[in-house]
Amino acid sequence: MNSFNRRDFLKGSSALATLASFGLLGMDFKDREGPLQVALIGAGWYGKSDLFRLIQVADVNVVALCDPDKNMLKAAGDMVATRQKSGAVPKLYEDYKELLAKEKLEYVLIGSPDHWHALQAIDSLKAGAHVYLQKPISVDVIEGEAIIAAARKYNKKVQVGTQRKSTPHLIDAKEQIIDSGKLGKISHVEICCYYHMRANGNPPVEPVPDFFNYDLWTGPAPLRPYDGLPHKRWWRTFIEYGNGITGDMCVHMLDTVRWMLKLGWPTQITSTGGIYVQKDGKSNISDTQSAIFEYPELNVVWQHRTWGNPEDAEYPWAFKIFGDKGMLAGSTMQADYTPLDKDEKPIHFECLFEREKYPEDLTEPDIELNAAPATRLHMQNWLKAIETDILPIADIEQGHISTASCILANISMDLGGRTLKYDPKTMTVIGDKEATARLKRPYRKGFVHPEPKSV
Amino acid sequence: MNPLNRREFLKGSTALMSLASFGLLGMDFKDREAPLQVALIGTGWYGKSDLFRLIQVADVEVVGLCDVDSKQLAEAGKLVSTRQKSGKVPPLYEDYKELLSKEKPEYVLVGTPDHWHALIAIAALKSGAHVYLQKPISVDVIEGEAILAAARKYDRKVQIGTQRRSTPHLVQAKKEIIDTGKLGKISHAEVCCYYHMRNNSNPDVIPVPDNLNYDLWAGPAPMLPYRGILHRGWRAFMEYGNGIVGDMCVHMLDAVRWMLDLGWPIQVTSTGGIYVQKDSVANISDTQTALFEFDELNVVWQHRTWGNPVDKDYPWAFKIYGENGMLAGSPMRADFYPEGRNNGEPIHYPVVLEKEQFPEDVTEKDNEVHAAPATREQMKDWLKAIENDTLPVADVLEGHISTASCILANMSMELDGRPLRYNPKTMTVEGDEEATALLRRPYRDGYAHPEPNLI
Repeated sequence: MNSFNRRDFLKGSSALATLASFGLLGMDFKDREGPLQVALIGAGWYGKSDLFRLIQVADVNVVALCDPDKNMLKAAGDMVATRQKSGAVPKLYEDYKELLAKEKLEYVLIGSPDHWHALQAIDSLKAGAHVYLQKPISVDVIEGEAIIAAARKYNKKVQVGTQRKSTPHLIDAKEQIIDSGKLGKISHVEICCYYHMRANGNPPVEPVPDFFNYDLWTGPAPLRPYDGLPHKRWWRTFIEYGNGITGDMCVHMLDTVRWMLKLGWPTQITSTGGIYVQKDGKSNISDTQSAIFEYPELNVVWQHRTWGNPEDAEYPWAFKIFGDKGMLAGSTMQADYTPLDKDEKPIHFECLFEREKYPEDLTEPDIELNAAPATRLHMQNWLKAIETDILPIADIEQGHISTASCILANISMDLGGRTLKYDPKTMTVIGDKEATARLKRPYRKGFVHPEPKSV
Repeated sequence: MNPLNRREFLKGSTALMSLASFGLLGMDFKDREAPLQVALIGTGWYGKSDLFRLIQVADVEVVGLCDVDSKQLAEAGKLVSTRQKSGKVPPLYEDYKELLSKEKPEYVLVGTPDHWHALIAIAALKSGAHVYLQKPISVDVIEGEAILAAARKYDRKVQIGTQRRSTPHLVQAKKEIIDTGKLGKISHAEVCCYYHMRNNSNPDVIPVPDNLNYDLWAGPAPMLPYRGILHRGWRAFMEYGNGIVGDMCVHMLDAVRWMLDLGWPIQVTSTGGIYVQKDSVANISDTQTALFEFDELNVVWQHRTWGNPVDKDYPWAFKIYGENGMLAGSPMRADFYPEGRNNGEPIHYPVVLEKEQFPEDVTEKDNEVHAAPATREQMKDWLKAIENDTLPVADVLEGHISTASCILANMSMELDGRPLRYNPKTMTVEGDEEATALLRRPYRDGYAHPEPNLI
């Protein structure tokens, strides 16, 4: 199958058919002259997971890994050696700048905490790499604008890790329920997360261990007194390094809804919430929050609580799209179409697992099995976009809109729940100097906040 | 049982036991020297329904009925003669002012459309009557302040028809789930209505029928071209009410405020509009979201008059979330859902019907059988409050807070979703002259808007 035909075939095929063709597609990438030269910056939980998904669908040579935690870095290196074709342990770096300067990279995956995303993504783009960047793309809005500016200026493809767009059962549901017009006029959306996922500990301050460069880990963000390794969960419980549950979870669901319904920027955003229940720990992110993302004749209402019951036990982290003829619920695990007409049959969509095709998924520590097929598809879409010079499905601008909307919700909450209208042309909140000032966080001494016009 | 002992007994008894004791209680009222002298202003659907509930629990002589529709009035007169002990058709009035001055009723029930509530309630209070006033108490916020001022000035008891506060299964759920602290810290509530209840017709303008004094019906409100949408149908127009929020949210917000002992919201924000049902003459929103912010607790309202409910068991309901569980409630049922495995078993509360005790409930046209026990309770609470000189359970201040909060939500929606902070001391929206101006609707020529300091 030549590449032109393959693309046409993909265009016309359903999600499952697309999936079935991955073997073939993967072969295409593997047929390249040499393996893809890949580096991973941030060798923790999702960084490694993303890298292993890429290795599953393309011929990859992991040139280098980077992490300020020597132990984690070393373990990641050993693990990569067992997973990549060459069997080699990649070069290990503490500082991503050194990595970018010394290695000639085509592809960089970024799995660092959110506060490092912007600088690392921009530097990788400048170094000539295409970037797979985890969500949310930034901790403030102007960082996001700067990453877009860099992606466009250096003409590289940036795929953002909002892989619900590549989730087989959600692609199916989109095609069968949304694109077919089955819901009628769509005029309301609910999105939510009720996982008890907020880290609530109160650990004592302790000396930084030798193997961890905490100052470098902190980078441009405020330096908190060290109270244990921040990996995976702990950093997410502090607003200094992310945007709380809204930045972590809402970004996925808002992004999915925007993709399904072809929505751009919200016209305005309002949010309220705070720490209402879980007050005993050090965490400073909201445990309770509601946000309204307004579109013309359609409001997207976000709610999260990290305590208590979910609204719907079947859909604890989910979207629900309401039309005048029915409703589509979706999550990473399933989707359900509920028609309004009682004589019409509901349609259930099951999550696709690929346990037989990728048995190594089953033994990989910390893997999200349900998300593995989605991430593989997402990686392939990124490579295809590079190959064919088109924008990937989760192009940086889309990731930026979804991220910035979540950040604006947090700014609204901080400002007493007032309504914010962001203008991406002027990069200001209209008529609101106080909110505009918050579009850029202060960087720590020695770090310079990236500017869209001078990337 | 003497009244003191009865009260003590009631204080200690559960809701179901209270209910079992109603027969006795009713007898007390019936033991008065003479029957209660009662008038009903507005003899439509709920006006008659309220009156028949009162007749069921007290010895009543209906001394006057008032309506601007002579046909509806005559039919109500006949119906009342079949239901009251004396068997008489009460004197019939077109003008409530004439009724009040000629009959001097001790008890006045007001069941008119919302736009007449304030003037009629205030006039009834001035004439010396205790008032049972349907919800929402007013169409604008200052009307509500004026009714409250009049009730206090003339020292009369005003019970509002927010009878969820007297609904046996909700009273029981409150006692067993909320008051016992079973939910732990309560930090979120959802309130909703997904009934397809909005008028979707678009009839032509027609001549006003002879039996209707349409000018008097419109009273202080704008007189819209007559289309035959009047009794019950007036809820389609903002001119005469406050849409679904004023009609349905007021009940659920009031129920949550009662359950959780909440006063005024700190701030109210709302967005919505006519997104789906655009072909109708109705001008109320078909889609709306509102945030009522209390201290560490947001109450989120949503209504859609189209599409699927979020939870088909609870299409018009409240859900109160605590760290240890959730209480869902509606006029039809209530359910406690524990959080996790360590907070007990689920508890279901079915609606209490009294079809055997009050077989006439079942045959009465348009009666809400499920709400009849609640309204009877609400009436008895009103009479008891009068007898004991205490505030009734749905005192006008409570009805005012619930009503005004809903009106403020509509004002926020009108003002493009900006948050409003109402200050009941100054009777202004803080820092918002435009919103403050909306606290009073303009009255039609010939009518003077009631002022709290001049009643």
